[in-house]
Amino acid sequence: MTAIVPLAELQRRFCAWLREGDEDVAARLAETLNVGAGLSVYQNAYRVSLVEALRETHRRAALWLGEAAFEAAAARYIDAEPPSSWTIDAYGAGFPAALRADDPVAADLAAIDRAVGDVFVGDDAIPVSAAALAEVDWQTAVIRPVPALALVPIQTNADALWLALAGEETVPAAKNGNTATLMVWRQGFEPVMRRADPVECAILRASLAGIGFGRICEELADESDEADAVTRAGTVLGRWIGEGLIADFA
Amino acid sequence: MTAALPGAAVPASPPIGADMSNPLSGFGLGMRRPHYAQYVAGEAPIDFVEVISENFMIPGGRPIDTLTRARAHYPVALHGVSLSVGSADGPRGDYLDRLKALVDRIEPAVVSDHLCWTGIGAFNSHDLLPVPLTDEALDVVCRAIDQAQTHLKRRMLFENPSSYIAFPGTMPEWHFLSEMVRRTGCGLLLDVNNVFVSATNHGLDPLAWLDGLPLHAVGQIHLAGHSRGEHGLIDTHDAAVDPAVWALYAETIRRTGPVATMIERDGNIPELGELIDELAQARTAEIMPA
Repeated sequence: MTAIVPLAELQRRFCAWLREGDEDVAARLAETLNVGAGLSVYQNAYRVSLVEALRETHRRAALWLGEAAFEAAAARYIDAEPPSSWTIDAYGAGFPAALRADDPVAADLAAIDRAVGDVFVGDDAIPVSAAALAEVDWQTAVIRPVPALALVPIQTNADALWLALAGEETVPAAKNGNTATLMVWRQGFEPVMRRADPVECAILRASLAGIGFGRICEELADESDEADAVTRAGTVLGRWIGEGLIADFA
Repeated sequence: MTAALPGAAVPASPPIGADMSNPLSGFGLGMRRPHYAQYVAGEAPIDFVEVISENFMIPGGRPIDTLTRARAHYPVALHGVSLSVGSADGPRGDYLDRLKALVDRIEPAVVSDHLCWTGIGAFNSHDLLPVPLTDEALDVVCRAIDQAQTHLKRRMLFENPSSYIAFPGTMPEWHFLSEMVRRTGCGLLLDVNNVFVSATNHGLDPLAWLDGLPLHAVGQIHLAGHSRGEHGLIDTHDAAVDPAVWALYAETIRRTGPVATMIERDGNIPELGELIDELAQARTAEIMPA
């Protein structure tokens, strides 16, 4: 028994048709494969499942946009970015950026949605307690944040909007030009987020790059006086310990 | 109008009874989010739960904790949708690594996926696409199943798909599945609703379709609801099991004997009690005389 066309070629044609969704292409494919009208079931399932995956991952952005605008944005994205991720839950990494030109608030909301989703299923870790600090050599120690942590740059007040949408509260007015970086992490199994100040961002990024706490303090001191830098870094550290942001020290 | 299936393969070796090496038995449900709390508490009066593997092939967090806690009360069947044994370029290595990690973590009673493909090259449609049932595809599928079973160090079950198209010049699905089972030693996850949907869509007799399948290799049975679309029946999992599917199920277990059976429900999910009541029909069917 022989194939009508080699399997790889048939599958490439089938995928091209799924991606393009063009009726003429569908007609040619159906004629080539002689498979009839049932082909449309697959085209429909393909697009519906991707739209639903985008909605599930970007729930607050979808709420903000409304049904028609979200579906239109999702359709444009699916056309522009065919799926390649190993699981459908990972589809749409570029969706927040794709929303930016038309709606910066939606883009920020989508970025938060995505970060919260990633953190929700991120690696587990037991944060260190304040008692562990006594054992730390601060000159050489490298802060290791909990693995389920994301930094999300935003340009709007999307963090306030996200929380209001999540709680079905009165949604505040949107504000552009409200640039900030959010820290999103997990306390137990619950994702939490807040704005990080520039010093926190600097310490966090340096720590993630493997730079020791002592050197971070030195670099901060170069920007201000030494005592102030150590105080600021210590304040950040204490806050992080309290918020369960530090997994351990290397 | 349906037609009988000329040449339907009837297994020569013992056709009756499930593979006794299969550790799954009794009656179960697909574990879905609205009912997580009841499964974690062990409150559902069922014999096993089945989960979608990919939903738990993740580093950590609440979903894994939920499954681990449910696992303390119920045997777990892992049911995947992305292995893609029918892809010409074979399963992804990173996918198999993730699945192996989950299998090691949960120690499921059963690991299954579908006779389908989901994409080729970098493209992954995330849909269960139809395999053209050719000799070439059979080689591809068997190679992929061998690879997966070797990687996981265990036998897997593969589900007969719902199909909405038939490729010309190809072998019947029951023949393809029989050869797949014979060559790889895998088991069959028999989706009775899929048999009904596919047979109906292709104008064939569901019972004859059933009789052609390698029933001796059935390790688990799926039941689900379907809906009627523009071009035929669609396996939507969003409604109660159809009476015609219940009748086909009764015929199935008359041939196989008791096999672990469960209901899949992915849309319009009702209260857990309603699904438990529906599952009771399967229990009844199993003890009814032929």
